[in-house]
Amino acid sequence: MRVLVVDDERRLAENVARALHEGAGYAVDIALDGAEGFHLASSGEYDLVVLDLMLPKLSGPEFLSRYRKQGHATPVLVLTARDEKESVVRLLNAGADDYLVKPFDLGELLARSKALVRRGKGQRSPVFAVADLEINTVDLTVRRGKREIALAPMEYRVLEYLAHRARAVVSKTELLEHLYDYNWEKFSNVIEVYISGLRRKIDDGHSVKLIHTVRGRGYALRTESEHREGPEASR
Amino acid sequence: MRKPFSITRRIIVTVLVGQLLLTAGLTLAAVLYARAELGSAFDSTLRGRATATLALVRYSESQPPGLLFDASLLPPPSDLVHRDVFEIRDSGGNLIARSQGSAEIPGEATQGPGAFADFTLRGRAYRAVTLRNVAVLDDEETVKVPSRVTVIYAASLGEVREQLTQLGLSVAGTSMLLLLISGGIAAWSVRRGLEPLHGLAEKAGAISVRNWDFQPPAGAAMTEELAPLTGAIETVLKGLKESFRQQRDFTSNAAHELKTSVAIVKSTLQSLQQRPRSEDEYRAGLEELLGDCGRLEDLLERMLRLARIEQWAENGAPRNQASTELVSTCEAAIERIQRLAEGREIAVELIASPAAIRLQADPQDLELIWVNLLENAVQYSPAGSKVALRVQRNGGGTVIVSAEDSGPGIPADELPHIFERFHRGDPSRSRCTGGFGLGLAICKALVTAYGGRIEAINRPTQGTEVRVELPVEEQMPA
Repeated sequence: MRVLVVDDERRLAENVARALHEGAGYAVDIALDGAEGFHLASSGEYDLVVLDLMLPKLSGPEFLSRYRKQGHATPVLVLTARDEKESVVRLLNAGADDYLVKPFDLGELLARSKALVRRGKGQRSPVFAVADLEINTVDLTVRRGKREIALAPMEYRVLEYLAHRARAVVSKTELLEHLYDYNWEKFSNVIEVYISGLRRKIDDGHSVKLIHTVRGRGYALRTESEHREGPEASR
Repeated sequence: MRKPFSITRRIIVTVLVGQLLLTAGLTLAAVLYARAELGSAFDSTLRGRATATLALVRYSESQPPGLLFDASLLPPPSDLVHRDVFEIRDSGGNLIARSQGSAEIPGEATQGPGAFADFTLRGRAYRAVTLRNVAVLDDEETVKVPSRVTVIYAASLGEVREQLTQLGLSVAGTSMLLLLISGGIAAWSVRRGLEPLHGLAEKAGAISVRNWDFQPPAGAAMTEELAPLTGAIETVLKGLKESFRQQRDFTSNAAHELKTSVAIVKSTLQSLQQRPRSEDEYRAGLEELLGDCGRLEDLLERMLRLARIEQWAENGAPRNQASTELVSTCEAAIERIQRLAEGREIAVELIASPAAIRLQADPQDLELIWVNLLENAVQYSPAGSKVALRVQRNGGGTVIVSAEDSGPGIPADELPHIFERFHRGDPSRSRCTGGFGLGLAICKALVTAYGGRIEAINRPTQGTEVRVELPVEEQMPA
């Protein structure tokens, strides 16, 4: 998952980014003003936007209404200093999905962020299950059957993203866009390395294979039977 | 409490009193004119009747021969109550004839020839004309008798007076009626004319902190007399709204800044707690926390200082106002800003004449103003550029101190707002240098408190100049 944090207070933005990165395994970009944030957010590569309300150049509410007018469905979590009912109502009506009042709790920020990402992908449960594979997004653990599988952070991110996309085929480009922040170099072959690692750790020794490569289109996390019946999204 | 003054009542009363006076004057004039007209008509009639009566006197040769009055030819009296009275005498003064049943006409009625006289007969007003030594009409040459007679003829004035009274009454009555109607019209029209005022009052009454909308009703906008009031309401409202907005913005900005600062500290702590950290990570975290706390402290310090200055300016509380030398405070300020300036590779220069300029002020306040001005200038200047603090004596007993930078200048639409609390021009940059947008607000509060002026202008070539004008101490005679 990739998150954009828009906050003119660099220290706060960095703390939020670190929490999201360490606590949820998200790739995080930081924008220090509304205009830059809006430019980045408009790329559509984010799974969540964390937005401070008082921003230079483009204010939070302005950001929200423009962003929604452009038709972006990405969930937006607003950080605000005001918790009066009116201002909260105005925020939600402007297109925010949730809000946190400063000074907020990082744990709560993490939980709300994960919930928003889930909902943004049409999911409900924080624990994904495909056949006997279980991915717990709360404590970032993966089990197959009774065995806990230790994954490298990037492997976990790829798996979690595939799980969120619910058995659909996910292209390599989409994975690249949603798993790396813009400071990271994007080597497309790295994805293949993570997929093969995942396949080795999850599917080896199991008759039911869960990680599938759809030639020329991408990857999917599902059972073979779901492949035949399941819905197919191109992206 | 005194009864409230009513414009409607006053206008109506004024109109009615004016009309009443007009009516009285009009009636009087009408009556006087009518009296003159009727009087002269009455006189003509009187003279005519006298002449006609005279025509009834003729010469008779019967025994004794002389002048005779033929009463049978008299026309029947038109008014039995106010019967005309007359006397005809010959030139010798002997009575020839007298109106029937009438008492003697008093002597005062007999006047010179052709003259009129008023008198009272049996309690009634009469007017008499005297025709003296008039020749009898059928005077024949053959008759050698004195044939000249004097006629005194009088008629009652009652009828004329009655007419006058009636005229006066009818004029006055009609006028009173018109007066009542016009009073009514005046009342209605004043009430109607004041309707826009009620509309305006209603609109003005609907203004509240939640609703600043003021649309003067169409009636008030079209009423010339209400234009100053409407204008005044709009002006006051604009000022109030603006100051209310500033107050609200201040509260909201202060909350934002304070809560954000606390949020930074809290999130740094929680971030350290999120997972086990190495000693170096903890150390770096503590370092950051210390910096965050310093920032919070700085914010609180500035907010409190601003509040204190404003309170001081409002209450006029005593302040340490000594005679202070200006240029030395500028030098001290430049020294304080030196580290920040060097960090950004900016040279700060003082341009001042050596002559001492003295102000009645607390030196620390002055220094604070210059420090804030310079801080602002340094923050907005590109690295490697110059910032100048220029001191100039002004003619009108003031001194101008201006901080000049060679930054990008301030957008025109931002200029009026830069002295507002928490205003930040380019926040992403001032954040890095730790600004809160309070420095210039503090400057303005201090300068205003010392009775000076502060303004910002974009220099024609490059950069911005923030100019402070302060009153200097009166020169002591040497």
